[in-house]
This record gives sequence, structure tokens and C-alpha cells, in this order.
Amino acid sequence: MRRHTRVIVVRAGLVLFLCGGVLAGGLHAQQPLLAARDISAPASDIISGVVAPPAPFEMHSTHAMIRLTRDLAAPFAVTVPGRVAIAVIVPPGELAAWKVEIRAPDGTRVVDGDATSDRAGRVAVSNGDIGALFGDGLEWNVRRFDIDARMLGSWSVRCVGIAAEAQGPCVALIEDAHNVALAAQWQSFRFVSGNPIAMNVSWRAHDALVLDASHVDAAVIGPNGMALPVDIAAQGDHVVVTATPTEAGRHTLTIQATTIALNGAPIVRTIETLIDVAASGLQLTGGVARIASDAASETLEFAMTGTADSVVLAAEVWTADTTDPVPVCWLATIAPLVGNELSKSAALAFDRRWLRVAGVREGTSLELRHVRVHDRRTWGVVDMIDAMPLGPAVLPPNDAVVDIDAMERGRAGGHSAPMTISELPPADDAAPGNHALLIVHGYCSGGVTFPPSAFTGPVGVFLDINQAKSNDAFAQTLLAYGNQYKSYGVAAHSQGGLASLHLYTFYWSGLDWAKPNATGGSRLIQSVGSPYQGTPLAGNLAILGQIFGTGCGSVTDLSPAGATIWLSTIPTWARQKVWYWTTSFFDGPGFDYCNIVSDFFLTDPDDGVVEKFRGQLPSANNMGHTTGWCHVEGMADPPQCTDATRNAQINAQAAR
Amino acid sequence: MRHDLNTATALVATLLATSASADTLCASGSTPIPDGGGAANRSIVVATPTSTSVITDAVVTVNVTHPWVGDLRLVLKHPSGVEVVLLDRLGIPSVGFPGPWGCGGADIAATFSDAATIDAETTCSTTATPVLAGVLKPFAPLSVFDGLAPQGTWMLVATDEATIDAGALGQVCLTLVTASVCPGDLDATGVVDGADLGIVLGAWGECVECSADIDQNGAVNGADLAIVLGAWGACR
Repeated sequence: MRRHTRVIVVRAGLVLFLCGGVLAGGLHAQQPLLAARDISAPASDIISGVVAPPAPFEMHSTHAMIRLTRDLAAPFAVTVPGRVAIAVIVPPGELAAWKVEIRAPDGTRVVDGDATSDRAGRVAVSNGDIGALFGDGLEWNVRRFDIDARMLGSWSVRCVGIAAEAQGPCVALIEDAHNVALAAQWQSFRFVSGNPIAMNVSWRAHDALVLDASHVDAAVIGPNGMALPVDIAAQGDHVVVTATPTEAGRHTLTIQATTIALNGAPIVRTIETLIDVAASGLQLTGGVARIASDAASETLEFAMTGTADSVVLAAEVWTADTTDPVPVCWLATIAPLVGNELSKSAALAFDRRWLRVAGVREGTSLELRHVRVHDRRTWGVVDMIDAMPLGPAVLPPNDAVVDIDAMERGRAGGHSAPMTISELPPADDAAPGNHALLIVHGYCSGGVTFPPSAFTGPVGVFLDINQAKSNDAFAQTLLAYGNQYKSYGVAAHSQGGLASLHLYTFYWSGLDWAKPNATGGSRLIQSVGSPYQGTPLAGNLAILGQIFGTGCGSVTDLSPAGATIWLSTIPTWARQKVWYWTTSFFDGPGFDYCNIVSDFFLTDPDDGVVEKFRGQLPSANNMGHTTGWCHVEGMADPPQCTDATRNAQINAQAAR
Repeated sequence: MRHDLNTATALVATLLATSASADTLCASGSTPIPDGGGAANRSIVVATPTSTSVITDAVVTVNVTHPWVGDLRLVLKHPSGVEVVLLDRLGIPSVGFPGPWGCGGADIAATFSDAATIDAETTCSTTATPVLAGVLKPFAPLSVFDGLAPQGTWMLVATDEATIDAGALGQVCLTLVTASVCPGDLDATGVVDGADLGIVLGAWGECVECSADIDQNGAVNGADLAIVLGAWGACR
């Protein structure tokens, strides 16, 4: 990685090294400390559920992803005339080495290599690659067949190797016209090594279709590539798939379910998802100590066990009245885990002025609710205590000024938290110490996002290419890069929006110093195509990555489940600093999509990576949805970051 | 008043020596602080008379308009050349908040005093403007001036040590508490004479915080008269 080391004399006799924008005593000879915020949110965020503990939700799949071993056919059903889309994926350079066969129920080869027959249905063939989804270096070859199927019954698709280069693997994606979805829901979002993970699976269809456990197959692959033992059992109207991870790290889960249509043809659906399993041992032991920081604030010190250097802590403060409890505020921070082997703790800051805002009287009994610990690496909830007594309320002095904005963002400076990243992006070569607009790319980006020429004044182009980082690690990298500037606003693409919001929420940074530009524009974070509620692609591509190999890896925060967990720690005041846009492909006659493969996994409208509905950030500033723009280059429509009209608005409105 | 284009700002305070007295002198105006220059050399000079008092406490109030206070270094210079750094690139060095460029808050309207309980160098807020306000403890103690004569040209030098953001120095006020080293010289002429004797006799009796109460016991009486008579003649 290219790295710039710049020496800046900031005080007579004192020389500080600015490495990639981070002050450090040389190239990471010592990791710099981050200034973590002690954040709060008003009772309204508790009542609205914005910061409620994350709850599992139901995922739906209407596709099947089937790995085809040599000459094995994957069946699919056509029970009513309609569209069937099939994509066959093979490794780069192998497309010509494979022959795809698609057979109709009467044996007709509707597709036989380069030959097609319209006898059973009209066929449209398109070729492409899905490199655009992965950044540089990965361009799995794809051949897609869109069939207006007329012949009813059991169809099949098969990969036939016709040359020595056909080393495989070959994966078929099938999306038929049946209104049958495979539904899956985690029983809990607590993914901790040694604890079972369980998912309820069932059919969602017009008729009361019951999932037969004997028609379910599932695979859980751990971080070492090994498959875990999986238990599949019927339970009422659904099937429960259970496995017990034995080590921390990223796990993928694939579930395949089959049912038989009335005409005897098999209907197959698969779900692919990923989770990040945290190491065991990080737990609250149930004790909390109150230590007065000053007359208007106190520290809540939670006794814990575990070996991490820092944790994410969150809790709600309520009055303990049994008849009419009142929410006071929500607290959260990234806290160092301090102490020794015998006694460890992590702390939350409680600004007593929230008691005055909530109208709490002196001496009223308080309790904490939903005291939760998130693993900082995975951001998963590793422990939660529903309620803990806190003792009597101690009001702040009468002259303590209630400043909601300052109370939400926490005392200036916050507290130190360890930096967890080691690789820093290169600094720019121009305009250090300026007030800039940062262009921030997304997950696994080759670096091409917004054209810098679209923006005026100092522009910082953040480049951390082909990376797959959690929102927290991404935010730390962005903070390190941004430190070459005094202050900045952000124009973010894709995950860059989540990372910028994460940075603003949990750390003090140049975003806090951004000021209105010369024309009064004061937007802090402006994003396009950011999957604030995740994208199913994160899971689908993780599975494909296991099959074909990926250059970037997967990011759990970008999965719908991971995003839900992450969003539960982002309060309204931070979300309000985001102005966001979504886009999708131009939907004309025929089969339209942004990407030849991601279309199988996403619900329209989508931009090839982000569905419109999952691109929404509740409580933020929704700037609207435009069509005719896709996520990145190489898709059907132009990349969304090149929309000159929007970029002009971003430029005019950006704080710097 | 003399202007030097290469100087940021200066203040001269003229003080009349009295026994344990305090005077505040202000210099107003708006003087641009050159952006990113290493040196700031602009001064305003006011001539001062001689006195026999010495400084026992110094307090200075500084007003600056500047969008990035972390760029600034403020130094108060005694006429003899003794310097006290009031503020030194607020927030620098930092590995966390407020960041490598120091405190990004705007403007200063603060009084620097050794008696303050809040350290100016630790005061930084992203929301308050002026970011430095109220009474603050300076970077280095102003007590360095204690015992020095107050007379002469004092100077406050504001230096902007980083580029991009620029500002101006506004009003500066200097308050010096002094104590006389020639306690009988009540009119600060450098001589204890009949005029001083007249001041004592004219204030004879109960008296609160009057200059003739040299021993500050609440009354002008024989003890004060003895001090005047004992110091009769030119002060040394």
C-alpha cells in the first residue's frame, strides 16, 4: 500500500508525524487513540424504537442458487406460462468451455450451447460478468437466459464441460414465476461462539404450503472453511435449522428447500446469508457502580468478563415506577474494557440533565433496561440484561444548562478508545489543513465513484481500494485519512455512507468541525446508493465467494441482519445529519435489471446492489429516488455517482 | 500610535503606582493577524510615567475573531521583554479530540488569570462560540510578572501559525494589581513630600479602601502618618 509520510512542525521544538493523516510516533510504532463519544438519545428514540435492541425479521427468497457438479441437472418447475430467468456462472475464461443445456419437460433442448429453440418458450440470451459487484480482479463469467416458458412441467438446467478448461465450478441461478417464497428468520441475533444459532424456515405462498423437514437441506460453513454439523427439525408449521459455531469469525448459512408443484414438478428455493460469530466470554456480570463525574454527570461502571480491549455498550435509563415507568434517555459508547483478570469493567457516561428533560424528581428510583454489549469487531449483541436497578435519581444543579445537542453528542472530547485497524489509507498530496469535501467510496471499490471535478474547493479523494471492512473499521480508516484536513463534509457512495454515519456517531472527527460553505450549504453527510438497511447480496455473494473465491471478502454489516443490528445503535440526531438518494435501473419493455446476476437476489426497484426499500435511512433526509442509474460502472445504466445534476447539488450543499 | 504592517497586535498599558491598587487599561481596534506567518510583529505603544509600584497580579482579557482558534498563539510581553504564553495552539498536540489541527472552534473573548479554575488549553467545544470565553487559566502562569515594574510598553502578540484560516485581534485589556515599594508616595511622583502628607491628613479617620490607609487597617491614623514621615524624600 502506498503511504505518504508528511512531517509538519506544529510547535517549536515539537515535530509530529502525520502518517496517512494520523498522528503517530512513526509508522504505527504506537497505535493512536481514538476520541470516542459518550452518546445519548432522548426518550423519544426509546419510544419510537430507533435504538431498541435489534429484533430478527423474516427474509424471503424467490430464487434458487444451485451448484452443479459435472453433468448434474438442476430441476425447476413451470406450472403456469411465464418468465423464467436462469443464469449460469463459471470461473473467468471458462464460458466457452462449458455448454449449458436447458431442457423442457418433453426433452426439448431449449438451450443447447449456442443453439436455442423457441419450441417450449421464447429464449433471450445475454452474456456478462459480475466483476462490477466485486471491484477489480473478479469477473466471473455469466450467461443468462430469460425464457418466456409456455410448456408446463419439470424443466432442467445442466452444465456440460466440453473442453479441458472446464474446471468449474458451475453455479445456476434460477428464478421462476411461482409465487412461492422461502422465508427464514433467525431466532436470535446473539451469535456467540459455543452458543447454538437457529433459524426458523417456512414457505410463504398463497396456499397453506407446509415445509417438510425432509425436503430441507442446510450447510453452515465456518471461518476455516469447514462445514458444521447441522440439525434440521420440524417444529409446528416451520422447520428449525440449528448449528453451533465452535469458533469466532464469519459463517455462511445456505438453506435449500424443495416442494412439489401440483403437476409434480419440483419448486426449489435457497437462502444464502452470513453472520459474524463473536468470541465467547464477553459478558455482563450484573453489577453496576455509579460514580459522580461532576455535579451534572455520573459514570455507570458495569462489571464484565471477557478479553476484548473494548466493547460497545448501550442502555436505556427509565424510572423504576411499577405503574407508570418513564423513559429518561438512551446511552451508548465504545468503551475500553479495563481492569485485571479478576475484575473488569466498562463504563457509560450518564448526563443527569436528561433527568430534568424527562421531568424526573430528585430521589425517584431509576433502572436500566436493555443493557447490551456488542462485540466491537462483529457489532453483534453478545450479552444483554433486560433490567438492572440503578438507585435514586440525583438531579443536576439548578443552574445546569440543558443543551440537548451537546448532551446527545456527549462531552467534548469524550474518552479514549483503542484503534483497531493497522492499515491506513494514503494521504492526499494537496491542501493539508484545509476544509474539504471528502469523496468516500464503498465496499470493495476500485476507487471510482464521484468524479472529483464535479466539486469545487478542496476535495479529498478517500482511497482504500478493494477492501471489505466493518462499518467501525471503515470509519476508523476514514478518520485516519480525514485527519489531514481540519474539517470536512462527506459525499459518500454505498458503504461509505454507513461508515461516515458511524464515524459521526461514535467518534470525534473533522465532521464535528465542518462549517457551512460560502453559500451556506451545511449538509454533513450526503450519500448515494447506501444500503442503510443492508443488502441480501452480502449473503449471496459471500456464498458465491466461497465457491469461486473473492478478492475483497464479505462484510456482515452490509447484510440485512448485520445492518439491523448496527442501525439499532445509531440514534436520530446522527441520522439527521445524513442526506441520501437511491436509484434504480430504467424499467422499460422486456427484462430490465442493473446487473445480470444481482437481479436474482434483489427486490425491484434496485440499483444492482441496493434495493430502494433497504436504501432508506429512517429519520434521515430522503432526497428521493431516480431511475436510469445503477450502482457502479459495468451495469446496465450509468453509474449513479456520475449524475451531474445531483453532484452539483451535493457540491452546493456540502459543509466543509 | 505606530503601526507596523508585519505585526499582529500590541497593547501598551500605562499604570499609575499606588499602594496595592489595580488598574485596567484597554486597547481597542481590529488588527488583522497574518495567516500562517511565523512571526507577528505589530504594536501599539503608549508612553508611561515612572512609578515605584511592582506587580502582584496580572490579568489580561483578549478578544479575537478567528474561525479556527487552534491556529493561534497568544503571548503577553512585559516592557522588559519577559513573556508569558497565554495560549499555544489550543488542542495541539492531540491524538484524539479535537484532532491534529487543534481546536476548530471560532473566536476568543476570554480573560486569562492565574486564579481561574478552568485551564484554557483544555477548553474546546464544537458548539460554543466564542469557543474560549469567561475566565481561564493561561498556558503559562502570569505570576512570572510578579515583582516587575508595571510601567512601559506591554504588548500582546497574536500569531497565526497555520494557513487557511485568518482572523483579527480585537480589544485587549490588561489589569495589573500593584503594590507600592515606596508606600508613602501616595501620589506616585517618586517623592514622599508634603503632597503625600496632605493626602494622609485629609483622609484622617475611619476609611475603607482608601489610598491613604497605607497599612490597610481600616483607618487613616498615626501609623500611616509614621510611614509617610519615615519615607520622607525621594523614593529609592
